[in-house]
Amino acid sequence: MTASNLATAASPVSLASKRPAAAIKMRGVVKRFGALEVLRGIDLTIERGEVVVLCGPSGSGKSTLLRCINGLEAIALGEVIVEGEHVRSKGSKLDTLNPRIGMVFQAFNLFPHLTILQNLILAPTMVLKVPRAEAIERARALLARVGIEQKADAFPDMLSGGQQQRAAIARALAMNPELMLFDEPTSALDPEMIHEVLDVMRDLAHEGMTMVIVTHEMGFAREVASRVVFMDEGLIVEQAKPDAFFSKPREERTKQFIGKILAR
Amino acid sequence: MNTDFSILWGDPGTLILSGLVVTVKLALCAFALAIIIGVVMGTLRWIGWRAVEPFCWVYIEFCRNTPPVVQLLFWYFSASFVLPMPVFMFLRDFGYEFGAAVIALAFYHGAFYAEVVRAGLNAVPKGQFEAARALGLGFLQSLRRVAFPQAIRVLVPPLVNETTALIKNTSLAMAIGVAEMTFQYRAIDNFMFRGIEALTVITVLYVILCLIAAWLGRLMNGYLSKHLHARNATAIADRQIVGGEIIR
Amino acid sequence: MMDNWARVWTPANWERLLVGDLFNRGEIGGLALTLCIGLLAIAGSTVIGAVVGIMRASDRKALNLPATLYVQSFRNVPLLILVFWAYFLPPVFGIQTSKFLSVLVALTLFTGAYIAEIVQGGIRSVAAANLEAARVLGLTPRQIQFWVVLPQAFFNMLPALAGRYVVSMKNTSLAFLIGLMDLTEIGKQIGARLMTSPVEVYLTILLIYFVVNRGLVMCLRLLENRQSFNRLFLRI
Ligand SMILES: Nc1ncnc2c1ncn2[C@@H]1O[C@H](COP(=O)(O)OP(=O)(O)O)[C@@H](O)[C@H]1O
Ligand SMILES: [Mg+2]
Repeated sequence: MTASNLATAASPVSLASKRPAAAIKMRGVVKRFGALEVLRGIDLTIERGEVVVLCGPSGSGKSTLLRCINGLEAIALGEVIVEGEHVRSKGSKLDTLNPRIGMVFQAFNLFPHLTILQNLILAPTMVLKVPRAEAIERARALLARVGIEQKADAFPDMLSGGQQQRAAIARALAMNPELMLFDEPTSALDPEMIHEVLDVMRDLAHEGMTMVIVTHEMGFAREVASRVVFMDEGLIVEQAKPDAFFSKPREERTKQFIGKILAR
Repeated sequence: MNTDFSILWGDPGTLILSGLVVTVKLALCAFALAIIIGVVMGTLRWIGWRAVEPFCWVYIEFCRNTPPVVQLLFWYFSASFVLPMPVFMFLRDFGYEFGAAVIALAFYHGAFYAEVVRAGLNAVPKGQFEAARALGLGFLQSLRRVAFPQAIRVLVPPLVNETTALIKNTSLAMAIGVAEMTFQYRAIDNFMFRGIEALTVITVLYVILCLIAAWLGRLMNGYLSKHLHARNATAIADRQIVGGEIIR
Repeated sequence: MMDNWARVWTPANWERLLVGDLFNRGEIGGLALTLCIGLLAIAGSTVIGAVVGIMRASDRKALNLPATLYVQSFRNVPLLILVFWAYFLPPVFGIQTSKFLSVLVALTLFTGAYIAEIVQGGIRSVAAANLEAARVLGLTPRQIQFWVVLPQAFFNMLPALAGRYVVSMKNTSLAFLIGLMDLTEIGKQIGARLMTSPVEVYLTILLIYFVVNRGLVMCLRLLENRQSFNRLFLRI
């Protein structure tokens, strides 16, 4: 199975002419939890096909930023525009979210009562109304793509962590997303399983998928990212191409962070 | 319908009151005995000791899967056949029906308490007990100092549920003629024709008894969470308890 | 000793225990009546419990409050007292009832309150993170409820539900206290007639209940297998 099999109608390249240039545009985004200001004015533009790695110390607001992009959290001020459309969220459980923004969680969050294949076809058949047979065919192709086609009829807890995370990525891809958000996708994995997930993500990046990745895997960031964004205390402190980011960071806080992360 | 609650100040009221006393006595005696049975049996099952395992299984499964009222009848009618003579004589002096009811309820609810205790012990991370043993604590010491204190936090809610069930089941003792509240209600209904009034009163009394048990449970829970910091155990308990009932 | 068993286990006694005295005249009794009450109550209380449990799990006061009231009031009263209420109250309002109906209604409402608690617990046991994953895929709240929450809740609550069903089956034995000819009553009569072998008689009745209830649990265990549960209930 080659990379092109995965490229779908939603692939950024084929739609380029009809769409505005930026995949994500955030302007002056402020997010509060009660009195706590978690995002304190975020301006960030991500072009289509870009792979942005988001890093920063724990509690700096990385997850919250991702969750504002797909509307899992409602913002207090500012605006979030995805593919030319405003993300309006009340932050309520009753909102229906945009199915074209894929998201992969640290804890996989596969549906435990469904087989892997059922996990993959649930949303395509329910939301996109893809005929069942077609959804299954595509799901199998995706599973083969991430290397777990033999696990189609297994239940999630019968898989290793790495396999579960690859299944979760396949589940997100089954919706033909225009962009993918990853929230520390390898943090819950044993070291020997990290690379199998990163390999899948690397392939996805090479295909031109727009990706925003929260990760501490700096080697991966250096190799795959088109830009590294460093956050601290709810603000974007610095952003640069990976080479520049790692070799000559401008801000003191960035230097400290890189020092700590590379020392591990 | 004309109801007249003032009649309760007369004989019916006295009857209900004496019934209430018997109900409370019965509940307390049965509870004390059932808890002992429950802790012993539950711990034995948790240990999984080969020699006693089949015996524990038969006792618990048999009691849990048969109606308490039939168990009551069994103890009442056949106690003289199965109990050793001195025990039987002792019970007879006590008011034989009462004794049979205590035994039946204690054995029945003891089986449920045993399952609660076992589930509570299972909720304590296995490493805890092993760590205690590894530190050189004896088996019983590890049980008492490490396993039980952590298990008890988890135990309280299902324990309260079981205890309310026990209180409610004391009403079954009327089947063998124990003069508890429900029995007195039947008497009032049959001989004084004041059924609805008496039924209302004893319904309220049962609700109050059950609420007192729940309240005591809450007190105990509050006390324990202040004095034992077993967060870990509670987190596991949340996963094991659905609708207040312990799964397996 | 063996004599006693032989006197209890006669074909005539077994027939009485299984179908009652008046079976030929179209009136069922014994185990058949017990099963009849038990299974009807289980079915009815499951429906009530599902509705009330979903109401209990709701955040809306208008749904939550009446459901809580029902559960709390029915859980804190002995079933026997409810049976008496169900028997003596309807005539006061001019409603015809029967012993059979009062036991059935009381048992159904009583068990329904417990099942509501189980259903509510099952719904709450579904991890919030799992719902988030469903939302991110663009499923609507209704689709999430139907395909993600309820199946998981149902699966999680199967063991507790099985326990409740058994309790319900045991509780049918209260029927004899208001004069129905159920298994317990027939057994009691046989015991009274034979006089000298109560141990054997009551052990026999207990054994029948035991077999029925273990059978019920075994059937429900089949569902606890995820594979068969999945095939049976999730036609995705
Ligand atoms: N639902 C929430 N309610 C209250 N505070 C929250 C919530 N989610 C996150 N926070 C707080 O917001 C801050 C940023 O959290 P998060 O975005 O998860 O950080 P990161 O992913 O960078 O570690 C933290 O201080 C965290 O405690
Ligand atoms: Mg985070």
